Amino acid sequence: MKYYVLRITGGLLTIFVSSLLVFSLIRLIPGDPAAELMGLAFDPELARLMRIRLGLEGSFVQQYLAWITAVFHGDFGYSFINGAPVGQEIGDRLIRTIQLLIGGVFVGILISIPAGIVSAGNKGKWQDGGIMAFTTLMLSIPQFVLGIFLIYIFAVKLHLLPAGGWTDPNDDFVQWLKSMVLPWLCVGMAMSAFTSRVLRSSILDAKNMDYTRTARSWGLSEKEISRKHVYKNASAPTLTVIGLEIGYLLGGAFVIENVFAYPGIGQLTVKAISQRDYPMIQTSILIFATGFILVNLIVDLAYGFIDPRIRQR
Amino acid sequence: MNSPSLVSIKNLTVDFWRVPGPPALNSVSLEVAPGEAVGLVGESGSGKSTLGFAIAGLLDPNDIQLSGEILFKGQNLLKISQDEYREIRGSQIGYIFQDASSSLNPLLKIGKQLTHPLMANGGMSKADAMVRAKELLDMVEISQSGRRLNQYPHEISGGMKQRVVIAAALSRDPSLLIADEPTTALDVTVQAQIIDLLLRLKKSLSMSLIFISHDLGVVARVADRIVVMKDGNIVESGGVGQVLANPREPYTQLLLANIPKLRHVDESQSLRFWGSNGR
Amino acid sequence: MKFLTWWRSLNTRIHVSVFMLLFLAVLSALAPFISPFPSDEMGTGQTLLGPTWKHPFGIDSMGRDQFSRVTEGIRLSAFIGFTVMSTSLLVGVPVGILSAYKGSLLDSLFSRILDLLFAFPNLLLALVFVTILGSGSWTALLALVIIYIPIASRFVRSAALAEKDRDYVSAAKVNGASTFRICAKHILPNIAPSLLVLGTNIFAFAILAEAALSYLGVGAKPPTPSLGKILTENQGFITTSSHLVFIPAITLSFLVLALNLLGDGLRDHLDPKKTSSRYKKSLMQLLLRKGTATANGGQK
Repeated sequence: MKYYVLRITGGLLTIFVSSLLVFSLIRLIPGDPAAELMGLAFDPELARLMRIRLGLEGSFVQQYLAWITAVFHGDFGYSFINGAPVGQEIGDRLIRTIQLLIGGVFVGILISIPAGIVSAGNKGKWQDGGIMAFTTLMLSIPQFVLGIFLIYIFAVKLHLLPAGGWTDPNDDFVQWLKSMVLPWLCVGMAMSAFTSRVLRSSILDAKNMDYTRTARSWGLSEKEISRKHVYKNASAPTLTVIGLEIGYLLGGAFVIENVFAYPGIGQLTVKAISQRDYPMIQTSILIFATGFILVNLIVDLAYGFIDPRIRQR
Repeated sequence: MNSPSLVSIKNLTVDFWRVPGPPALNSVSLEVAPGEAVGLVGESGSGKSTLGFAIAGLLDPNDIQLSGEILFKGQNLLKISQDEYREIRGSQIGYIFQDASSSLNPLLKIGKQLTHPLMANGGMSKADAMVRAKELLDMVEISQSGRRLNQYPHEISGGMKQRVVIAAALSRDPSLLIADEPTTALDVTVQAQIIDLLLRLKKSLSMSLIFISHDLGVVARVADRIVVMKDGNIVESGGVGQVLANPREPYTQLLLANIPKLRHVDESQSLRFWGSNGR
Repeated sequence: MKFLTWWRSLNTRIHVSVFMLLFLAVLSALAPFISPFPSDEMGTGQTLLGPTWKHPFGIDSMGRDQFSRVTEGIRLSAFIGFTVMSTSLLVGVPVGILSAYKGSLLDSLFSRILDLLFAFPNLLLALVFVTILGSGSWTALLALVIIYIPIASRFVRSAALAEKDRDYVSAAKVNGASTFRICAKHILPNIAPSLLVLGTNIFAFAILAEAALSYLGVGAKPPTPSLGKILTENQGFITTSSHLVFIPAITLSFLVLALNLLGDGLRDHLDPKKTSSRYKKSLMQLLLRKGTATANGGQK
C-alpha cells in the first residue's frame, strides 16, 4: 500500500516540477515576443498590454500562478500565430495521438511476445538467429526511415494502404483503419525490436534460475514450469522495458506524425517550434511531459503488482 | 540387509561432454536400503552432487554420456521415458537443493508453490491441496502455518525457507529423500534444528535419506552409513561408527582431521585448521 | 604481425562493423574525386536523375548532385556523433567518477535532480532546447551535447559506484593514495571497457537524434545536407525517383548499424557473458536510447 501511495505522490510532484521547468524554459528565450510580433509597428504601451495578455508581465511567481490557475480552468492561452485558443487545437489532436500510440503499443506487444518466446525457446537455432538479426536491424533503422520504407512498399508499390493522413472513423471507419495500419505498424515494429530481445533474455535467465531447477525436482512438466515460473518471472523485467519504451515512443510520435502527415500533437508541436508559437509550445510540451510521467507511473504500479518484493520498500 | 534395496546403483558412469578430463562419476556402485540414511561425503568436485542429480534424473541427457544402471524399487530408471521419470521424481523421490533461499520463486506465494505440483501432478483439487500444504508446513514445524501459506519467500527467514523446501520435497510422500548440502547455507544453531527435523521425518515417514555434504561432522549426526567419494569414485563405505573410528583410506582420515575441534585452544592447532579449512 | 593476431582475436561483429565504417570513410574521402560537384550547386544537370556514372547517386529536384550531398551528410553525421560523444565523455567521465567516489550529499541531490530532468525522452528534450536556442545545425549540436553530458555522467557514475566498494580501492586508500590517483589510476581503467561501449552507443544515438531533428526541420538549415534533411527534401518524390529517398535512408541506417554492431561486438569481447546477465546488458542499451542510463541496468 505504502508503495502505491509513495509512487503516486512522487508522480504528481514530478508533474508539478516539470510544469515549473517547462514554464521557466520558455521564458528563457531571448527577445521580447511582443516586440517580435509587432515588428515595425512597435509601440511600448501596446507592447505592454500585449505582454499582459500573453501572460508575460509581472514577476515569475505571478506569471506562473496566473498560468497554473488558467490551466486548471482549461485555458491554455492563445496561439501567437493565429490567436486561436490553444486548448481547442490541442484537444482533438491529443486524442488522435493517443490513438496512434496505444494502437502502436498494442501492435508492438503483439509482435514482441511471440517473437521473444519463439527465439528463447529455439535458442541457437535458425529461428533465434533470424529473429535476433532482424531486431538488430530494426534497432539501427531510424523510425522515420522505417516509416518511409513502409509507405513505399504498401502505398506506392502495392497501393494497398494510404500514404498518410487521417479520416474521421465516424465518417468512414474502413478508411480510418486503413490509414492507421502503417503508423501503428511503424510504432509497433520500432518498439518490438527491443522488447522482444529483452523478453528473450528474461526467459533465458529465468530458465536458468534455481527455482526453475527446484520446480523440475518436484516433477512438474516443462509446460507447467514455463507457465507458472518462467513466463511469470520473465514478465516483470519485460514490463519495465515496455514502460521505458513507451516513453521513447512518445518522443517518436513527433517523427512518425511527420512521416505520415498524421494530425496529432507531435505534428502540431513541431510546427509550433518552427513558428516560435510559445503558448502552443509550452502547452504541448507540458502535455507530453505529463503523459510520459503518467505512463511511467502506471508501469511502476503494475510492476509493484507483479513483484511483491518492491511493495515492501 | 534383510529386505531388497530401495536404490541399487551399479557401475554408473556419467561423463559431461563439455568438461574435459575424467568422468564426473566413474563406475560408481551404491545400495540404499529402505529407511536407511546414507551420508555421501566428499569435497567439491568429488561427484557427490552429480550422483544425487543422477538418481533424481535431474541431469540434462543432452549434456552427458551415461552408462550403468540405477534401480529404484527394482525398476531401471535409465531405461524409462522422460515422462515416467518425471512422475517418479515428483512422487517417489524428493530433492532438496543447497541454497533454499533461491530455491523458491520470489514472485509466488508459498502456498501457491506448494499446491501447484499437488494439483498438476497429484490431481488434487485446490481445496484439498491447500489442506495438504498446511499439513506439510506443520510437519516441518513451521509456526502459524496458515499464515505462512499466504506469505512470499522474502518475508520469512532462511531457516524457515529451508523447512518449506523440505516440505515441498516431501509433499507427495516419497520413499527417498536426497538432500544436497541442506545445512551449509544456514547458521550453526539452525543447522542443528534442521538436522533433527530430518531425522524425525525420516523416522515418521519411513523413508530413505541420502544426505550429501562436505562436512563430515554434520553427516556423522545424520547417517547410518557413510560413503566417501573422491574424484568420481567411492573410496570408502561403511557404518558411521566404524568409518569414524577406523578410517581405512588416507583421504577419509584427512576429512576427519578437518572437523574443527572446540576443546583445545591450542595456538598451533587452530592455525592449522584455519589454513586447511580456508575457502 | 602482432597487430594481425590481435585483430583475429576480435569477434566477427567488430570485424564487420569496422569494415563498414572504413567503407563509409573511404567513400566520403574519395567523394570530391568521384563526383566533383559541390553539394549545394543547383542546376548541375537535369533534375530528378537516376544513378549514372557521372552522378552515382542521381540528382535531386533542385539539380543538386546527390552523391556529394549524401557523402557530405555522412561527414556531418560523423562530426556530430563524434563531437557529442567526446564532449559528453570528456565532461561526463570525471564528473561521474568523482561524484560516485566522493558521494556527498551534493552528489545524491545532484543525481536526483538529473534523474528527474533526464528521465524524459531525448527527442523531447532536444526539441525543448532547440526551441530556446533556435534551429540550425550548431544549435542542434549544442542541444545534443547538453543532453548527453548528464546522461553520460549518470552512466559513468553508476559504473564507478560498482567499483567503489571493491577491495582494490580500499587497498589503495589504505596505502594513502589521493582521491585523484584512485579515480584516475584505479577506477577509470576498470570501467574503461563499459565506457568504450557507452561511447559507441552515444555516437550512434547522437547521429539518430540529429537526423530526426533535421528531418523535422528544426535541425540543419538549408542548404546543409544533413541526411535527415535530405530525406525530407526528397520524400515527396518517392513515387518517381525512389532512389533519392532510399540512398540517404540506407546510408543512415548503414552508419548506425555499423556503430551498433561495433558496440555489441566490443561489449561481447570485453565482457564475455560472465559478468552481467543478458537482461542487464540489453536494459543498459535501452536506457541509453531513452536517455537515462545506469551501468548496472538498475531501475531506480
